[in-house]
Amino acid sequence: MSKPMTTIQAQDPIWRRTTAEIHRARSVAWAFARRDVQLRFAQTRMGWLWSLGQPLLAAAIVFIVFSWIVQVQAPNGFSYPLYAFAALPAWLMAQHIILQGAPSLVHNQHIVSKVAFPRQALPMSKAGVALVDFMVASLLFVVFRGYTLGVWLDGLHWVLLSSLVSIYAALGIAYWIAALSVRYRDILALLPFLLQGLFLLTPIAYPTERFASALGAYSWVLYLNPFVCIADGMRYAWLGVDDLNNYHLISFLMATGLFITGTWALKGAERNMIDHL
Amino acid sequence: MSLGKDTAIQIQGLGKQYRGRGAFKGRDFWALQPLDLEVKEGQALGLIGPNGAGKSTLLKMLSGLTHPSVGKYTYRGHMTSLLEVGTGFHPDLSGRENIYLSGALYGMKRSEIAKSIDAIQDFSGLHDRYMDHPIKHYSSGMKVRLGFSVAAHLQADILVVDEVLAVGDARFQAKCMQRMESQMQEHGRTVLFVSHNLYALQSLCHEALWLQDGEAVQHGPAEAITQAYLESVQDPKQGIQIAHDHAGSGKLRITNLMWLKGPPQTGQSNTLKITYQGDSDHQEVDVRLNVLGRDGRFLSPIAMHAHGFRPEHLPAQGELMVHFASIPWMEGSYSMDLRLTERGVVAQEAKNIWGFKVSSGSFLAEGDPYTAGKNGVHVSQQWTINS
Repeated sequence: MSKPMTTIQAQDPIWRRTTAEIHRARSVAWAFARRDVQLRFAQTRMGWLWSLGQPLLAAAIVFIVFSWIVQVQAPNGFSYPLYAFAALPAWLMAQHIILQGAPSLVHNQHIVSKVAFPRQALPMSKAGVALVDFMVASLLFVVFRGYTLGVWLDGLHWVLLSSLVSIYAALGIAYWIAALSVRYRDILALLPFLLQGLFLLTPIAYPTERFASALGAYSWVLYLNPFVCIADGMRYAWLGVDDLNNYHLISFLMATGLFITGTWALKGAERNMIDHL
Repeated sequence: MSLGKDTAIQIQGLGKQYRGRGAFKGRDFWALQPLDLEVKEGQALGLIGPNGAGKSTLLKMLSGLTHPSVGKYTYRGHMTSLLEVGTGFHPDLSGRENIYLSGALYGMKRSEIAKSIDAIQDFSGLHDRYMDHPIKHYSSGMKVRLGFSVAAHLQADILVVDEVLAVGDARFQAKCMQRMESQMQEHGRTVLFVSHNLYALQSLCHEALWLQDGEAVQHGPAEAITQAYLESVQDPKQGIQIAHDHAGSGKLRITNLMWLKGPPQTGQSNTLKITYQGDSDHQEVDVRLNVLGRDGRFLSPIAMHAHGFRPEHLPAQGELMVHFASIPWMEGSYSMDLRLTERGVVAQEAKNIWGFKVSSGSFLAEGDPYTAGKNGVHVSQQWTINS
């Protein structure tokens, strides 16, 4: 008999994961991502133009609030828009993944309760549209940088690395919230505030030096935010400023830790998910 | 663990316990008591039992939707569960795109779907020009047919099916049953099947397992088990106390059914007393009792609105009487499905809740008793000679 055999036991440890499962998670995530891309901007007048419009609007808001009103200065003589917009596409991508991925299990409970598939496929699929938007926004930034300072692509490998960390840090958070939201929907009510806080605590629209001026020796606390290393990584990649230091390692480890624990939390919640949803 | 040479699924001590929470703290219950079961390759096993017997719990564990509390199961090959048709369909996607999405959810590869997409379209009977339209423009029947067609083309060695054949029109249902049967015969596919339609179950399944209150009652040849099950629900009790655990809102429920003049007899008058309970006055209530024959096929309705009886208000609790001047059913055992609605909202719904026996008699006082050895209904008719 060539057919494979599968055994499921009550006492299976929750971290047990087969290659078939990982494969399945990928193909289901791919199918959902396809759906999201196909449905992106369905019944909108401007359609895919919104992929350009959304980052431009976000950039405009950051510029108005932080440059005009708060009058933040960019270091090293960079123009403020260039400095602030370098990290913006990566943040918008992370925001999309968290905002869409975290409630995805609750929103798709009619599917979740009828078909078994590795549950991280749903939040994971949200990275599809986010990635498309990220590429469009990054392209906009490259054009903008080329126009003001000249094209510089030496840091491209850092861009790739930072965007990768951005995806999995965002997925880690989305997994955690998705796993908790099965039992405690309260956390979905907190989601907008969580994202707002995360945006304000991440040095995207202001320089990272402000951390030290605010907290002095305790500034490492602020590096517990995984997106600090992503913002600084992006600026390092695009502009060659904000050298990375040991504190960024804290931030990077947090991102990795969130992803690993988040995957584990969601896997644990998978078992009796449909009894609570 | 190794399986016997021709075993498809082996279940050992598999059970599911739910912990009572909140108001039910400390009252744990077993949705399914530890169960042993073996299904051979190419066989079909039917699961029968009243609502809340543990059938769905078993299917959910086998499909991996929920993890067992105790025990284990082993299966050979690829297993797919079908608890609903058209799962994952999105109204804004076209028929074609939805086939890909739904197929992927059920574990089909894109290339596999691409290969069978023509067959799927063909089976659904949907015209080419609909395939690229968003399915929100489809009729509900078309959506069901598309969902079924995807289901009918799933590649699996073991297929777990839950009551999905209960929707769709009769012709299409029959087509799906045929497809399932041919897949079993030609490809040695194993099927686990839950249905309240005992007739469909008998025609498809070799074996049946009867579950009740989370426990296995009997396991054996489908025909014998369905008979035994029907006899148990058709037990000719005078009345019946209906338990609380049925589907519906529960705002209004029937608690007792009873023939006032004792066991009914063909041609004699009798009265069915329906006792109901609720919290407050009821409006626009409709009671539908479907009388089924021994084989589980629908025979005749006992229905309130269908007979033009539409009281504006019903007191919170009370009794309804249904008078039969002449009992139309022939000698034999009958069972009943119940559906109770208030303003169109289902308040209570249950299958096979009650059974009664009808004893032999003549339909008309001047006529002879007519026995056919099966269930049947007398219809009033007039005989004349034209000369």
